[in-house]
Amino acid sequence: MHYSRRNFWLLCGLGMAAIIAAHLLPHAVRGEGAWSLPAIGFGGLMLLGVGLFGISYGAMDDIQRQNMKSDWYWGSVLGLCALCGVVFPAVLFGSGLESIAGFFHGAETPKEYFFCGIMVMMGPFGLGYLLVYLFRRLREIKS
Amino acid sequence: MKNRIKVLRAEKDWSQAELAEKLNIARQSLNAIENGKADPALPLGMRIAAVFGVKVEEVFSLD
Repeated sequence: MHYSRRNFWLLCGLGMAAIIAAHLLPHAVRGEGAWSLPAIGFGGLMLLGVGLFGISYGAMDDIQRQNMKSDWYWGSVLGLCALCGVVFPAVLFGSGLESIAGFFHGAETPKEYFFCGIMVMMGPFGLGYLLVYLFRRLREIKS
Repeated sequence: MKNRIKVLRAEKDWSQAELAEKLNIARQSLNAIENGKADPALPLGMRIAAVFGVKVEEVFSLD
């Protein structure tokens, strides 16, 4: 599979859809019903997404890899700054991390806390990456 | 790092897309190299020189 922008966004979308879909699963991660058909299906989709992304990454050229690493680096720095901007005020002036969890319509089960943890950590990183990527693309189009 | 890819490409009358295809890289990547926004790794640099049939130092030079 050759690298293309469409493939890249397809895989990103697939991974994000799997994360969101995992949140919507009716059963807990452990215990009765954990190995339901949707859980196995979504798990399989995530594995497929990771595998396809690995193949796609292998087919990228040097410059695309350099750009992607650079975008992730600066996007993560941006995301980390945003995260500090949210977490520190929440801990200092709010009711701590529970107030952040409350933002996600109240996490009550371990599964929901797990989802909140993923989203609070990975969400800003992913958004930061997206911003840096779009900024770079805009500069490329202008040049 | 400076490069003469644009000049060499014009001499051969190749478009960016054509040269990118010969090098098996994305056109955007070639554009970034041409404009000095990205530096290619040594293997790609040697491939670029080989496509034009010149030495690496005839394509790339230090600022």
